[in-house]
Amino acid sequence: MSEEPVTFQSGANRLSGMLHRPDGAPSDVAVLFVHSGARGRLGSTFQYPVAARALAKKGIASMRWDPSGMGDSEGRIDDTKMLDFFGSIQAGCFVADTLAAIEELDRQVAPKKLVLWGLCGGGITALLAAPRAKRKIDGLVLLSTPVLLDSAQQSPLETISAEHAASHLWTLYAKKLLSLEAYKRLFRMESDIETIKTYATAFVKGTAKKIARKVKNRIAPPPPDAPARPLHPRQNPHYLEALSAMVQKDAKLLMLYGETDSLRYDFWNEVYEPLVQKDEAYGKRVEVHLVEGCNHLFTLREWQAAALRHFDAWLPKVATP
Amino acid sequence: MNGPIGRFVDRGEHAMFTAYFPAAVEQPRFAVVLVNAFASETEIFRVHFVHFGRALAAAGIPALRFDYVGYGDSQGDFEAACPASMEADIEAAIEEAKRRSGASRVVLVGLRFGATLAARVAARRDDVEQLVLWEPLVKPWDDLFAQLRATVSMQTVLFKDVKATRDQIVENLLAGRPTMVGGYDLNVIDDGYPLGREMVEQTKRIDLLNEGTSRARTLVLHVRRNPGQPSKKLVEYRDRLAQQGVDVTLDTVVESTLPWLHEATYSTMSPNLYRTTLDFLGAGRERERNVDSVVEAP
Repeated sequence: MSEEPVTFQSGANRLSGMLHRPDGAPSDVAVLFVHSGARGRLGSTFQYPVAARALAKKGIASMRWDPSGMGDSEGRIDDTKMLDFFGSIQAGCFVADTLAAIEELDRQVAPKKLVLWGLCGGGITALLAAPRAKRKIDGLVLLSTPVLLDSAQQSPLETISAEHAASHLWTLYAKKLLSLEAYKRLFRMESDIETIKTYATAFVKGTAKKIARKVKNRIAPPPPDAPARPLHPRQNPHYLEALSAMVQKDAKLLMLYGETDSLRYDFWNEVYEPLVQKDEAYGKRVEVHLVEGCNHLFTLREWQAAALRHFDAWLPKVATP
Repeated sequence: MNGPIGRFVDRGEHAMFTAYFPAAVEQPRFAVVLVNAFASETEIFRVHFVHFGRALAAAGIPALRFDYVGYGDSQGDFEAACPASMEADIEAAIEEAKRRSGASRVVLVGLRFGATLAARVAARRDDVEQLVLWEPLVKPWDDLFAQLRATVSMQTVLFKDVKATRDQIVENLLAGRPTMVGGYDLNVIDDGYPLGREMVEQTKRIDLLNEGTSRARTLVLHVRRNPGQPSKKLVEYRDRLAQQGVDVTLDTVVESTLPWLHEATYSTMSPNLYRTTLDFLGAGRERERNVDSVVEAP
């Protein structure tokens, strides 16, 4: 196996990356790691190098790289609220860099089949870039990918789903319901009242909205051609367009979410139930797994190994001619 | 703006990644080696060092950043990294910086745990001209042990309970056994970086107040969000260096964000740290001419 620093041009910036080549002839499939959220080519707990080396052992070449303004790449990103930064990624600010990286990997390895792999913001960047690539993108591995748009203008109540609020409160406070000490802390105002209040409000508001919608539908059923439910106010139209385009191109998608990741509820409500479950075109091409216990960033090696196991099982869908 | 030149350096069993920022000078007086911190702080601060490397190069000072073996782009396993191996990496980075720049002396600029290790390395070398310590950890075990809280919080999400306390994890690490709960090895820190026994054993022994010191001119910077006094520990450390006859300055730098605190603002530069350090290195005039364009360009 070899690892080789590479640089390539994207617009005005020279981007830096790392190319991983296996020993011997590489497999027909190569993987391009698209930035890991705000962590560039490394990923939380250095999971991208770990994954790239694991792939190289299986004969798969891959490349990791920093988009403009991250890591060793040229460019600058001005100080910005984290949620606004994520919002700009979700609108596609690193798509052009990804297209340049695809061309670089093609120049270096010329794989017959190409898979893009991205976590969190890297997942949405990979999805948005894939339909615009000059070459065919055969597969997408999308971990913890956000389906809604983030903005620092949103209140926490807008970003916490009722399902996540319930799960969070249950996880952290269920045991304390029977604890005298916990009640004492509550009355002494030593508990994290603000968090409890925020999550409880999100749960009550979200649940009330759902019940109201069901009651309204029962009293006055919508016409048959009406959408099953209103679009989410933070819906990311770029996500749905790109997903539809890749399904039409017959790409194969592997989507992984951590069991404790709040984003999985958005995905379930906005994409899995209405599209993957109900539309055969999506159902045939999108494979979804929940990784037990896993958090948003797949930080433990056990969760990273689980992601690689899902990838191994899914890869024949892409590799088969 | 120039990207750094990436290259691997042979470190025996594993290769160490270095990124070099060349300066347009024939015979530089010294090269700067940028020594990064611990675990996730190195990922977050990597880009800050890259911008500083460019600023140094623009001021005519060659610079080199590197990933410890087991970190980032370097090969090896994170759990095998420990103060002894990381200090050996710093020494290898010093040799690489001298070789690539042609300089015979170096300045070490370290961040937090990296600053601690840089101070220890400088104490046993005679080619360190100056030492710049950004928020050094005087007794780093205190911080590492505090960071193990994240491993405890993780358990409340995973198991709705704390199955292994920090003390139990440390005990297991020192005994060389995993802390297995529900199929997970909880010998991790900072949300999932695997810890090794040597890391714990050696870090527990580090106390900059009771170790040999470098004779190099030293700048210790305390970094805060608002103006204020340096911490007690850093004042103690400054006094200790001064008692040893070291030409030492302790100063406070205000930055709008402290990246190692995982703040709600995404930041890629630490302009006030850069400016104070460049002034200390005698690059003030060059800074005005070149560096502010790197730091402040729109």
